[in-house]
Amino acid sequence: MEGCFMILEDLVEEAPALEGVVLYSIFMLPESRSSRTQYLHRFLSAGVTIHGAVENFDLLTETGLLELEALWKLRQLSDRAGPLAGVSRELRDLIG
Amino acid sequence: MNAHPLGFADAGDNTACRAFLRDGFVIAAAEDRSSLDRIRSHIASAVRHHLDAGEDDDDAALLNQVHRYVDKSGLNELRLAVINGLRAQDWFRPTYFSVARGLIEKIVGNELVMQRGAGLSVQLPGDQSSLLPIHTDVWDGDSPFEVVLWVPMVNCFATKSMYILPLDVDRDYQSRVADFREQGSEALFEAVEKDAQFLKIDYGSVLLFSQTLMHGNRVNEEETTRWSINCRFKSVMSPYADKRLGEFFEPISVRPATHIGLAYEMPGGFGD
Repeated sequence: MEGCFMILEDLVEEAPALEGVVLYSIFMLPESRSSRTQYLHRFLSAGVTIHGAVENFDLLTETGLLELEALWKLRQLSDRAGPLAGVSRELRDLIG
Repeated sequence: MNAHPLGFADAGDNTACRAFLRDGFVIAAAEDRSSLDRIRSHIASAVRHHLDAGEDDDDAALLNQVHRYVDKSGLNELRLAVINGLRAQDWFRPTYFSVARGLIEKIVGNELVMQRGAGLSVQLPGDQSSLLPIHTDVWDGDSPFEVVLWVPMVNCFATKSMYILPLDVDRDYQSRVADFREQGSEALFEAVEKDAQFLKIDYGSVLLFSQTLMHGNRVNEEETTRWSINCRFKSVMSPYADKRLGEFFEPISVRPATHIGLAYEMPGGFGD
């Protein structure tokens, strides 16, 4: 469910027993920066690494948070601009 | 074109920029030959390992003559073995970028994203199963701000190479492309064929092109096999289309001022 982080909350509670968490995408983390970094700090301080499968992104230490946040902000900016005009199905069909 | 189409700050050597503006593509010498050789050497080693053949051939001979060791039934397996092997190397993407870094920075900018997974084309002589019909990547959901760095691993020419429509004729045909929606891409190719340029690009050179241009390939009617790698680049901040930041593109150069800007948050506590 979009905007619901019950499973993530459960995982944080289980953190002492985990080595790492693999997310389908790092962009599944909370939109709110403070909430997102709070989760990530809790995982990292418990020695749990975070991995984004689609982005092949590994968050292994606190310093990696800067890179993650930069990527997150860039993605937000690109989303804010909105996608370019879509391609018509007929045009896609032309190239098979 | 006005007197300063590239802006007043680009008064230096902008030959490549002017060629790109005129044609939509540019061919240039590889900037780091040792990087290019490293990539080709890795490919050749992977081919030898996969096919258990070609030990006595040098890298160029092996790739050009690989059809002696594999036919189209084994081609896709070979292609996947080679490209997956390359993609698994940490050095591959920085090395590929270094082959044309200066050119890309001139044409695109110096804050860049790079496609995460480069593509590999292998086209055996006479093989009809590896064809790419005429298209632009934009018609399939790519951003028009992207460019493709196409790097041959062997000398490419005539039908062993790709063809492309130079910018001026391309735009003329694209304005009429809807006329072909019932007839399909082959009819479109037949219409543009006389203006299509099969690019001669020797090993040691690179092609950088706007994938808004129509391009594709035909059956390789030459006697040797084509090997080429392609990978997309774009400016970090230019508009995206279906291929998004994160899953498809990865930032490879973000400057300090941008980092500070990205991290900046307006002071809170104000009513509006």
